[in-house]
Amino acid sequence: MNASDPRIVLTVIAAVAAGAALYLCWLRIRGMPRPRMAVLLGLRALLLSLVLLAVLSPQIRRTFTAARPAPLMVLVDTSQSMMELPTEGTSRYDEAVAALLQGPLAEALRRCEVQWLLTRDGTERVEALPETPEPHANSNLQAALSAPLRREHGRPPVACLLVSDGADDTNRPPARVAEALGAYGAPVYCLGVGSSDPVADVAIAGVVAPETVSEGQRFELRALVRAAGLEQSPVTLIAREDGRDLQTLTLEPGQAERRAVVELTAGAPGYHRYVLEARAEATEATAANNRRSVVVRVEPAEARLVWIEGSPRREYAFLRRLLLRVEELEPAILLRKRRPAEFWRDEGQPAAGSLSGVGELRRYRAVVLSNINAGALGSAFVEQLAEYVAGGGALAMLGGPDAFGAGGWAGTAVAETLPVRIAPGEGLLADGLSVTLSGDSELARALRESGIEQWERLPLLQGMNAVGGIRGGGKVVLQSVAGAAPVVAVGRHGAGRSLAVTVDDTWRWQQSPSADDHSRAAWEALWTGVLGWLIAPRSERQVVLDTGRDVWESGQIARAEIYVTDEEMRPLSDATVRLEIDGPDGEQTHLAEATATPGAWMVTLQAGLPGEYRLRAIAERGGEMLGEDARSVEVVEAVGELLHAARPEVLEAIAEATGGSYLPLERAEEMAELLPLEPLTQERTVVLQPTRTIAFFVLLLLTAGADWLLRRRWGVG
Amino acid sequence: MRKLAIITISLAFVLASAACAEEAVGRLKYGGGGDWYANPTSLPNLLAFAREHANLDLPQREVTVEPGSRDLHSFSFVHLTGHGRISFTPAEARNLREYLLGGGFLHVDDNYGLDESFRIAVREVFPDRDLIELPFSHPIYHCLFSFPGGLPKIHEHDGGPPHGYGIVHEGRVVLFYSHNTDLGDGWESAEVHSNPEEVRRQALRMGTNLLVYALSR
Repeated sequence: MNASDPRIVLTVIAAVAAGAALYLCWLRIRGMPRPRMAVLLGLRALLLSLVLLAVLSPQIRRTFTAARPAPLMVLVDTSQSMMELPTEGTSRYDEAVAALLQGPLAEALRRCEVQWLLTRDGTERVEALPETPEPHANSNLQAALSAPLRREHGRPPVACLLVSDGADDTNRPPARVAEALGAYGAPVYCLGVGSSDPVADVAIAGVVAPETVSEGQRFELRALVRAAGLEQSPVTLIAREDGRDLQTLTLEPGQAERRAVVELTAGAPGYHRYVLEARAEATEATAANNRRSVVVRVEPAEARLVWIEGSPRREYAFLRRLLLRVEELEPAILLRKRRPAEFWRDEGQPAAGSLSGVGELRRYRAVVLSNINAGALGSAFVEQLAEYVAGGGALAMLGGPDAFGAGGWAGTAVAETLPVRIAPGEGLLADGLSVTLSGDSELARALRESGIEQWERLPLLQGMNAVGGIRGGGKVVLQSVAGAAPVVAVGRHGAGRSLAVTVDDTWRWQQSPSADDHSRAAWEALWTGVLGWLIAPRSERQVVLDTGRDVWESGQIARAEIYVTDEEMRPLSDATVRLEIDGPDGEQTHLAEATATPGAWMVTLQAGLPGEYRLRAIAERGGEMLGEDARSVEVVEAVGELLHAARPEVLEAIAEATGGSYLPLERAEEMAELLPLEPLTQERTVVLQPTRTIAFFVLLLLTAGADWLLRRRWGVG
Repeated sequence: MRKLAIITISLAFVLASAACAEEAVGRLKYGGGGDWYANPTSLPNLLAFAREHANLDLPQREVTVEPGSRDLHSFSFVHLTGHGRISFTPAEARNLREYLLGGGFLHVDDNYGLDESFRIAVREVFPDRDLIELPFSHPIYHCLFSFPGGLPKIHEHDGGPPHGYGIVHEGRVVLFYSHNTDLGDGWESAEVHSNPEEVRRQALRMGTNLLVYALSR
């Protein structure tokens, strides 16, 4: 403070002014009685002092020292492995709670400002630790710990105490879990719960089987069985189909991982689901992972074909000779020798036969309806035929007076499968007919590659079945020169294929007045091509559905990949692909998303309720069906973290990365000493200004009021 | 436009004729002086019987065809009968052979007295093949009606059992020769030879088997 300080100058001036004011006041009241004069002078002096203080506004500084409990965050892992392990005795969670709520650590925590947190999708703050919290599935230790540490508001904790077994379902390496946690600046002290010994459990880790086998073929199912913690216990492996035990193997004790080979014989053609189940003699954590299934498709041993012929006729005689000549083709021929439906087997010695005698259609690669009317087959068989095509079979309808519309096929389920339209009442067209090769279908290309040219030059055919043109997705292979009516057409329906031949006298290319070597070669090329197209193996599917494994755990995020190609097996990228799912959850349809891989689509979904699901992938392009594929998937109960042994190394890594410490739960008492639990102290300085208080203001008013009132009463002007 | 063309053509042709679907049956008009035209009612009767008792699309009557004609190749089934001499020119023999090996079928029925001449003539057609007697188990005797004892005996002729011979090509009988039975007589109308009805029926059944065999093998 110096002389130039305005406050000093102001104080001096005020003091002089106050002295002058008191002197003037004394001059006015000096005649009054002495007591009154003393009161009035005292009041005036007080008033002037108060005014002077108000003008100068002096400040008073005071310093305090405060202490408060240390804020501590306690995070308790409530994942499935904490809540449900071990399977017998006290759970890891209960052990953790006991350590936190009793003993020296509990005493230490009571001196702190504890914030209790449970791991959830992130974390959940609770007032106190619940007795039995809901186990947390899909746990992620790093994510759960990051959420509370990443506090942007409020006071940061002095430390975090994590009580966990260190296991989560990400199964990340310790360094990955601890990664980045140190950046939050809060030391994490870890108490490790549970044993790091393997959890006693038997599981089938994997099953390998061939995708496709032939009927009657011997094949192997190779299984990898894990007996963690049960190395000294034998395991029984049972192979089943449709609830029927096929084989039982005993896997001798000795190792945790045991390999088993189940030899089986392929049954009837179709899809077969084989179930493998492992049984342990000792108690294990869960039986949900003891069963696995695999689907194997059984193909007919030979390229079997059913030929249903409407009547003995020259076209049939020629075709039958070809049928019996084709190598590796096993035809079953039913020839109708009397109407309406007396069928004979005709592939060898003639013998009475029947439609039912051919057995299940799925045993055959193709069915040929050669000039046979729908009524002769019966509605039930017609329905079976349509289902057979939709399920992946190949069907051909050959012309004649009992085929297509003339054969009563319009409006039937089979008509929907054919590549040509059939209208009721469509009969036969009788006129000389020459044909020409058309289109770029697989069969048309095969015919071109056969070297046959000038199809138009072939002997005239004498008529054809009237059809209403090509159906959506159908492709013409041969057509009439006049009118471009389809003579041979191919198409797809469902997972299968269909073919139509609308003429019935191609034998004229073999034997007629104008037949020659060229026409005979054309006949041979046509029908060899047709038969080859019909009995081509199903592996040439344009749509392939791949679900990876055929067993998913409930709640698991699963992927279904769908591969789509054109007829030349080139990947297609402009298709529309959908996945239909039918299972215990009901029916669902998912639109597949194209991936970066050309021709590959993907559907990501979450496995629902346990049970069997049928997945059907369907691909279309420009409204045209390209094909479909189907697979069965079994959803089993989730095993979750039931097999997770404790991972103290994860907790050690977290403690190290954050500057905390790790101790096993048995040493929880020591943790009380390690934690930074000393109360926090803080010095505070308070600045007081009495003249800025209401009390000062009131005192000023009262003094001034009293001065004014007494002056008036005692007659002072 | 394309659809319109199809419809137009369809209307023009619809149900024009079913003739194209019928199997052509011929009678072989051979040379040598034999009565190739014998048993005139036989084939119409057989065709009628076969249409009635089997699921065959057959014409009302047969068509006469010469062995050297290219038209021969249009026929699904050709019948040859007679009592006398038969001969083929080399061109006829070649055409007949080509027809049979190409998928045709010839039934030769000895109407009595044809055997010696036919066996010589068939050598002209198939110099490298022999007529072999077919076993009773052959499909030709069982493909619709069953003849466990082989050919039925229709006429006595020289007595003795009837014989069925065949020329076989790639497992298929392309020529069937019925000897010492006279199936054609059995196919004739009842008043022609006064055969018992059962005998006629047996002949017609065997003839139907020949047609079924020819149209399915």
